[in-house]
Amino acid sequence: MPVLEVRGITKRFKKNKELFTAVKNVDFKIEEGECVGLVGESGCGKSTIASIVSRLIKEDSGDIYFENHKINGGMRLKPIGKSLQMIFQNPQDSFDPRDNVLEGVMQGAESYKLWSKKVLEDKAFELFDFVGLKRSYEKVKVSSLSGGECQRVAIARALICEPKLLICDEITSALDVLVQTQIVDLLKKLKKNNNMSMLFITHDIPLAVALCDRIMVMHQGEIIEVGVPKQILKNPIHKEVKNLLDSILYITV
Amino acid sequence: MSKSNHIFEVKNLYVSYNNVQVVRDVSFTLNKGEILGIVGESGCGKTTLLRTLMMLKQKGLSVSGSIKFLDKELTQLSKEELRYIRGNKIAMIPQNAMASMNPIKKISSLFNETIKVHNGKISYKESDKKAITIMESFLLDNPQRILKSYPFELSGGMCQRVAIAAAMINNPMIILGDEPTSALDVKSQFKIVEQMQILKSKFNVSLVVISHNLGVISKISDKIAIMYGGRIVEYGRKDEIIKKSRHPYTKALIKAVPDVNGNTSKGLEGIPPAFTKNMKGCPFFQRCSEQDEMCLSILPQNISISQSHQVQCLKAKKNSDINTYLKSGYETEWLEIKESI
Repeated sequence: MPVLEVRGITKRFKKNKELFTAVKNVDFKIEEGECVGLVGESGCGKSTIASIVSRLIKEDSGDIYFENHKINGGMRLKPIGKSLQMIFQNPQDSFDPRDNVLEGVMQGAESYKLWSKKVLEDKAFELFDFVGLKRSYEKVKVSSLSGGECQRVAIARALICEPKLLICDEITSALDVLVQTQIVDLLKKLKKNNNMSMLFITHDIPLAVALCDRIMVMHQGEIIEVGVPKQILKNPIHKEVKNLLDSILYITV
Repeated sequence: MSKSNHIFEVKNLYVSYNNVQVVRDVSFTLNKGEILGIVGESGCGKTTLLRTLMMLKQKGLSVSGSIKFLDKELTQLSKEELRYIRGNKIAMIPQNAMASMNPIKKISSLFNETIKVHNGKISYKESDKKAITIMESFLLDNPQRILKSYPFELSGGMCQRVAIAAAMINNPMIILGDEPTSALDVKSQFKIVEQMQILKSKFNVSLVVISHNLGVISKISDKIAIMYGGRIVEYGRKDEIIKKSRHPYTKALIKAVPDVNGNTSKGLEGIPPAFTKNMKGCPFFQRCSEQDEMCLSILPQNISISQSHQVQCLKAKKNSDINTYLKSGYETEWLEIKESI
């Protein structure tokens, strides 16, 4: 049973009084425990897909199934909300700057009222260890953390209500290379230990290759190529994919 | 190389903020048409260094050491003299170009103002003409349309490319780039890199570019400086840094960029040390895999591997060499440590 199934999603936006199609008839599935990468240049519609799947915006047409339940249309979102979590590009912006780290992490589960405060705190501290935050950070303000630390808090917040699907929207692109590898290591651990399904959105193809089981390449609102990382990297079929691969800057002498 | 070739010479530069040194003992030289890449993590002092090179001082910053531009000593110049040099002889490409432009003025007036400030009044017709020629030489599509646009109508990558063209409009000798590619996707990154290569080949400008991405830096630079904790811990020609790096931090940075097969190493744990008043020992000590007691108490100084390659790591040379190195100035310190061990 796929965790997420997206069928024929289309989304148009108004731009300069004209309709502009951001996402064109997109289909894909994410199986349980699978990590799918969604790559493409800026403005190709990656984040629009993420926002539609997490119900932040409404699609124009198409259906979304989460564990075989249709989630677009009139259904209440609260029961799904906790099993579908999203992490954003700019962690600092996604927190209340007045919150401390513990409040920030607990915020992820507060509205679902699943556990008592004591249980929630214990869970939060367990997650501190998991994502590699010091427990002494508990009272530190989120706004005073570095980008990498703040992204760890965001991951912990997403994990606290034990989601089944994690949508990561460019979560490493605002970070340093060294911190980037730390976060990717963390996601790898998550995939291995918790059998988490992930939709990993990035423009950094090598990073997606390092982490994902399957990669979808997007161009101008359409998914133009799907394949295992090795195949995409070695034998790209579509011209645009080749173009994209040629612009990667590897370390050269 | 003769000395006259150097257009930029930085020697023993210290920058401190409220008596805490943020940039420590930085020295490098830059020749005409040469590109220096400075690589390091966030908070290692890269931006402070770059701003100091233009003497853009913030309140509370104090600078000591020497920054020589041609035959002028920038640290001694008056405000007016610096104003003449900035933007005219030394230009800067900001990290977030869109934020650095005036949102209620068109790109056309950006170029006009940039020329006006340094070279006197100029009509829009003339400045547009100049801007179009320069944008065409950077292979920007449809410069007429760009001139008529507002910054927010352009994409992030396009804004960045326009900012590079605008930096070039007064024919400066040096351009300083503050993470010009970090906010962009791979395709735009590639275009910016192409553009910087044009800067070098067509205009023969010298560049100082800072970035945390060795992939970008290795594509464009002739020399690379690796910065950590406010110090340049490794400095050399590009091939020396990439192929024969000696500092463990450089090695970690190189491994952090995924290779052609998508393999990455395990990331370096921990964060860079906070800047404090009394720092002892090697700044990289806590995160280093090769550390021992010696590193805890001795601050490594430049060790020459070759004429152009310098490393600040005690492990860069064999133990016997270390002893002779230590004798030249570190005797007392070393003896104290030896006793304590």
